[in-house]
Amino acid sequence: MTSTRRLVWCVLAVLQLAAAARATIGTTLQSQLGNPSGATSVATATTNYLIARPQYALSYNNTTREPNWVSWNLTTADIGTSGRSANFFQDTTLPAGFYQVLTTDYSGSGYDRGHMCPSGDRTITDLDNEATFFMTNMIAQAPDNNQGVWANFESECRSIAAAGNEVLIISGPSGYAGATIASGVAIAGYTWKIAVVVPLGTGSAVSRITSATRVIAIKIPNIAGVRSTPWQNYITTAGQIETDTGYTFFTDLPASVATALRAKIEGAAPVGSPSITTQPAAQTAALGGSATFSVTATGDATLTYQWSRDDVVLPSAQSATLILSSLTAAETGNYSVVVKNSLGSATSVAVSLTITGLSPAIVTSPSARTVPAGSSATFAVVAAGSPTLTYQWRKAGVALTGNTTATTAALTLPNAQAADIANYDVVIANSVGSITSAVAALKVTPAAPSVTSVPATQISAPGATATMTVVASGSAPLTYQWRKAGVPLTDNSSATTATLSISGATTADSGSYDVVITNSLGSTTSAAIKLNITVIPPDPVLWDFTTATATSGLPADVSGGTIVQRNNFGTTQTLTTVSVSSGYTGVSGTSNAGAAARVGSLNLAEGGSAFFEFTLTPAAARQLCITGLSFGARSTATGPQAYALFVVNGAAEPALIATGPLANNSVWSRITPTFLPVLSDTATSVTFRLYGCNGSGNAGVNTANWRIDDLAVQLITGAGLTAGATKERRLTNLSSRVRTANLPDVAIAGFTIAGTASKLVLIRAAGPTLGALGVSGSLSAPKLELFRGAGSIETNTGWTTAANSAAIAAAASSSGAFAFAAGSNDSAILTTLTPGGYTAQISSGTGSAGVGLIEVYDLSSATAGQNLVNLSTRALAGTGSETLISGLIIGGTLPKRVLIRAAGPALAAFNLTGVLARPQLTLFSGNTPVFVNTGWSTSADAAAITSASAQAGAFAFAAGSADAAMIVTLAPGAYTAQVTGVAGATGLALVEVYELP
Amino acid sequence: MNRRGIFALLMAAALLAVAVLILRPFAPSAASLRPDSAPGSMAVVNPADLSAEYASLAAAIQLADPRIRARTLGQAFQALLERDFEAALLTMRALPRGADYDTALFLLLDGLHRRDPERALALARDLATTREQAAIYNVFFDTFAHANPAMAVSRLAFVPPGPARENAVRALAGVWLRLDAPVALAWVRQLPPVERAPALESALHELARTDPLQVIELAQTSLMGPALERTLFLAVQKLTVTDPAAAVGIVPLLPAGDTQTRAALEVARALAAKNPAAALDFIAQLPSGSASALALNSVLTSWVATAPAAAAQYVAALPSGPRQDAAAAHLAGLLAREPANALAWAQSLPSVNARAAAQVSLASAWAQIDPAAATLWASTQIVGPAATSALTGALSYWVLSDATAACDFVTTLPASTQSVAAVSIAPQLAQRDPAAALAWAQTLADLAAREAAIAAAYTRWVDNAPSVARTWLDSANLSGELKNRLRFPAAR
Repeated sequence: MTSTRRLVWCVLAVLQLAAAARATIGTTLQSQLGNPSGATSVATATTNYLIARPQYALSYNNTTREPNWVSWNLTTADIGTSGRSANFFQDTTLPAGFYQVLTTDYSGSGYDRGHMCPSGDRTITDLDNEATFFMTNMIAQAPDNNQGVWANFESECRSIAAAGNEVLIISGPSGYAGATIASGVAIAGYTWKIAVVVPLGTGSAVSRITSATRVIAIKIPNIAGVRSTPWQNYITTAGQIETDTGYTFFTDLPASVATALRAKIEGAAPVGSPSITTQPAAQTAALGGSATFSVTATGDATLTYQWSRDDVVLPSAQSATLILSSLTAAETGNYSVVVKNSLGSATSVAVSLTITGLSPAIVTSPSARTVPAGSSATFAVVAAGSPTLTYQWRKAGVALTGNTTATTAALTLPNAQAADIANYDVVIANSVGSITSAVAALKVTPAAPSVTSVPATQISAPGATATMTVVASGSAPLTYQWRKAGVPLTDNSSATTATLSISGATTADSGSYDVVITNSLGSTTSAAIKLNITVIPPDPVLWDFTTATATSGLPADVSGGTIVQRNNFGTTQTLTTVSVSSGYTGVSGTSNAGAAARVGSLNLAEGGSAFFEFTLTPAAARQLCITGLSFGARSTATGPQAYALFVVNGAAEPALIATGPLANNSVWSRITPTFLPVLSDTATSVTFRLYGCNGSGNAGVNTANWRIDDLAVQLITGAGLTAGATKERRLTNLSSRVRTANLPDVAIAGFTIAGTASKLVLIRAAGPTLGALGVSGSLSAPKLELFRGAGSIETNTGWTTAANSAAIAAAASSSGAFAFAAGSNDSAILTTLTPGGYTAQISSGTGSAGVGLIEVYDLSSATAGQNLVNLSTRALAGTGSETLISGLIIGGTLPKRVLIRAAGPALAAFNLTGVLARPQLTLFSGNTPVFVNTGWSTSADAAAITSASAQAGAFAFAAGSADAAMIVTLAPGAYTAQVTGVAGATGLALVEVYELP
Repeated sequence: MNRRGIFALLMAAALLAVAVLILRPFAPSAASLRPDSAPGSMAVVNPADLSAEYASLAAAIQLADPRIRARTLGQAFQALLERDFEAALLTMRALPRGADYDTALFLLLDGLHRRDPERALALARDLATTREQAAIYNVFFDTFAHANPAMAVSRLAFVPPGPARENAVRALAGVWLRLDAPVALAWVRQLPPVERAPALESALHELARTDPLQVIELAQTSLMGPALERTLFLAVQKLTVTDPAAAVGIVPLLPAGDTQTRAALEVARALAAKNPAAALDFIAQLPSGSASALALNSVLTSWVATAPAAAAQYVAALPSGPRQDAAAAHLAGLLAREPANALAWAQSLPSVNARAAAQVSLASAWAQIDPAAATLWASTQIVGPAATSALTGALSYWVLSDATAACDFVTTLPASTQSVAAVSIAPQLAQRDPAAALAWAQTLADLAAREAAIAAAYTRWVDNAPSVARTWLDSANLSGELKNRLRFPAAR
């Protein structure tokens, strides 16, 4: 015998002797619930060997080298101050032939020597505690299980015991999957424990267990990661553990009790406790009538019932059915019932009792009112009753008529005058009865005129009727006198009414208006109203092919527009329309025109074979200028591969003005040919022919149909138009005034050069010079950097440092730009750019925030299709001097159509934060606002904005978004588009200007 | 046939083999599991590959004892797993859902998640569908979090909602907090509410070991319901160990109810271990009622270990009433290790009710050490409710340890107490040996005691084995009237 084993043997001997001397029945106390596996203390029972100690009883398994189960009881009397043993003990009491697990057998295994009967449950004496450290009381327990959730439940059991209970506990391992630690001790898949909670009392716990006794059964995975999981997550039933282990628990309890305990789930309602199967239903009954509530419940033994109304117990209502008779209004309320038996209780839902036929009763009477003349006066009454109440307000006892509020609970007199002074009351009625309120007096005090509301700015088109309305209050009668620029209007009959109407308005009617309102007590003058009569952009002429004629947009001074279908053999056909089979952005979705190409040459040079044709004719003394055309098209592999647009201008020969490919994949796409504006002679027709061809000269091909849809033509009518004028009709300058600092607040301006030829461009970033012009907070040293794509092309941080500074100054002068001071820190780049998209970034060269101006000038001569077509600027939009401003100049002598957008919310989709929530876009001509928009989708041009945005390549705004946009046709000149936040809000915004055909 | 083709056939064979295992009611032979036993084209598969593993699985599934079956099946499946993971996966998929499936699932995923986390997550999402199976996510995220918490967070995206996700965030939060508490708490706080609560509870569970006061503060502002109560109680438990005085101030701040009561008990006991007077001061601040009474019991339990005389004196000096009665009963039980002294103290109590309560409690506690002496003493008390309780209480322990001696003793009791004593032990006797119990009952001299004991024993027997009991009754040498009473107990 080794010295170690001798020592262990001695310790054990002492332990056993002490235990035997101290307690005589301790062993039987520890297994009061029975012997789950029928363990015996015979040496041959190698897998089910019973060890009974005063501190616990267990069944030991020599195969798994662990206990099968351990059973013990726990009361607060078992908890003392002994502390935790410093040693584990090899169990030498095992019969010969059993493997005695060594205290070191778990070393390095990664598993704890996990107590089944916890050390903490046996702390009255050191010997009691040490008895729990026999290796026969240990299993290989995952540390997270043992030290976490398992330890918590051990603590819970001690807490339950401290709360005046005796706890009978059985625990063990289960779910072995064959794994062992190196010494051969098996690793269980689960640890389980059953705690039967018996309130302290007289006699043994087992003699006091009933079916109502609380049982907590848990089954916890013996794995990592469960350390902090509450034990409540692993609640199961003793019955489940029996299934897992094959044991039978509670063998020393009556069968009926054992059955009940096996099924118990901690926290769940006890089996046999009441359960409501039919809830009571809400009731409606007449006053004086009766109502019945009933409930159906199941549960063991006798059920008792207790009804409540609004949570107040009804003492005599103690059956499953509650009958209420001779109902009074006081019995209105919510009723519920509690069903009980010895095992528990269940509470029904609360349901209402509504008593009908309650005559009206006034809760709050109307009160007297005193208001100044011209104001509104409101009387209100609050009443209750059933069924529905009706109201009739009266003035001096006479029912009021002609006022829609006179039959509601609140009477409003919108314009109280002396004539309204009276006593008012209200008659409230229903089918049961009626009641009249007390009277309430109305007093109206005399009042001088005051303006309630007046519009700020009115914009109207030439020839339309412009109206302005003022709302005023005050003692009647009120008189009105409208004025323009302070001068009373005498030639307009509406000038002495609240609404001024100017029919057939002209630009001469633009100006500042106000109105003087007068009564016997005085007069007042409204704030100024700015009226701007300006050009309304013409809608494009549109064919959607529901018919062959133009569907909309044909000006009054243009006739024609019927499309026919023809071919080169002289055949003219009625246009055939078919349904759209597939869509594209902007398609009308109803029908389209199909053209069958005939046998013959499809050579482009010969004009193709099949075409669409329409003719537009200006009225007498008028000219027609077609500036753009677009259409949707669809073709197939055997259909036309290209289109050709010919024009027949008056008596001239047909001329090819544009051509391009047609997609041959049966997919719709929108095509916008580029061509020089077509200018007609006075009162002279212009005919367009749109050919389908293949461009390769193949003949004799019988093509399939090709189709077009949604043809749109932009045109201008007028007199005295010249070809040069139409060519000059373009954007020559775009600029933005922004507030910027360093990244990420750098301001970014994007611009696009259309066409195929390079263009000389002047780009400037003004800072100090702005200050000299009176702009406060201007950048002291703006840095200008020009990019194409991600690549930087050129940078300038002071225009005079540029090698071509002299040329910059000259270019600025020739383009009409204000001059930079010599040696100033304003920056500029003069360069020739190929067509494409560019960005110019302006930032603070000093790191300080400030206001700057970024400008792009087109210095090239006017060439059709070779234009500066777009400028967009992203920057902070603030208020006052920090307003985000874009400037644009329309060159030439003809109006130009542009799309201007102010994106705020839409920027969020690009992962930008701090965006301007609701931008207001205002277009100014000089200092005069000409157009305002605070929500693009509310604009009458919403549909046009959508299609124009798509056509211009701009990203789409979400439907109903607060982003702002406008399509305007502007006379040549300088304009500014200003972006501010509604209600003074600030944020990141993007302002964009697009040239439109 | 290329390797892929062979592999596919092998998989099919594995499935077929498992199907055979499942569907056949009789024990399959190892041959039936071999691929060459499959019909048709399956015969081309090399039969030697996995036949041994399939045979082992087949044998394991036939075992009835759940403990042995789990162990054997686990070993067989592990062997298959080590030979061919994909075959093991297919085999596992074919197992019926239940303990066998769960065993295989855990073996398979436990190994897989360490070498191929993404696949393990994907498989678990497909295969671990019950609450019990979802425990695999505890293992996963314990491993992931130990390796790299940030990576573990990213893998949460592959965890389905419900128990799986709860287990994952609990494991992750707990491990992470041990690794880096501030970062872990910051992560927990930004979780959506459904995940924040379990994650925070787990994190606070860990934090409670080192900073229970912070846990109490955080829990009260961030948790609710059972999670709040669990966390508060745990934190107070920890605090009582390190700073009972601080815990005193916390108890009134806890939600009223069970949590507060249990916390009060913990604090009272911890205080009493160091300073009983301070513990009594603490109790005095509690509202009267069960919490206060239980807290006093906790103090007494601790106090009696160090100064039993002082504790006894304190209880004796309490004002008479229910509070003293309860304290006297509790203390008497604690003093029972020295029954003579305890008895003397109990009998010295001036209050009749306190004295009775103490004596009844003492009898039961004493009986756990020396049931014969305790029962004998109880039987000598003046007949009355307290004496009856003391006697039956002591007897209930004696019958546990030595039923024969207890029965013999009952036969010696006078008629005045024999009946109640016999009735109290007869069910326990009948639980283990009903025939012997009834035989003993029929030996009782007193008629009333005899019939009452017979009825008590028979009632238990009927509960446990009604047909056997009724058969016995039919042939028992009992009066007809008694038989009728036993047959129709409700008719009495």
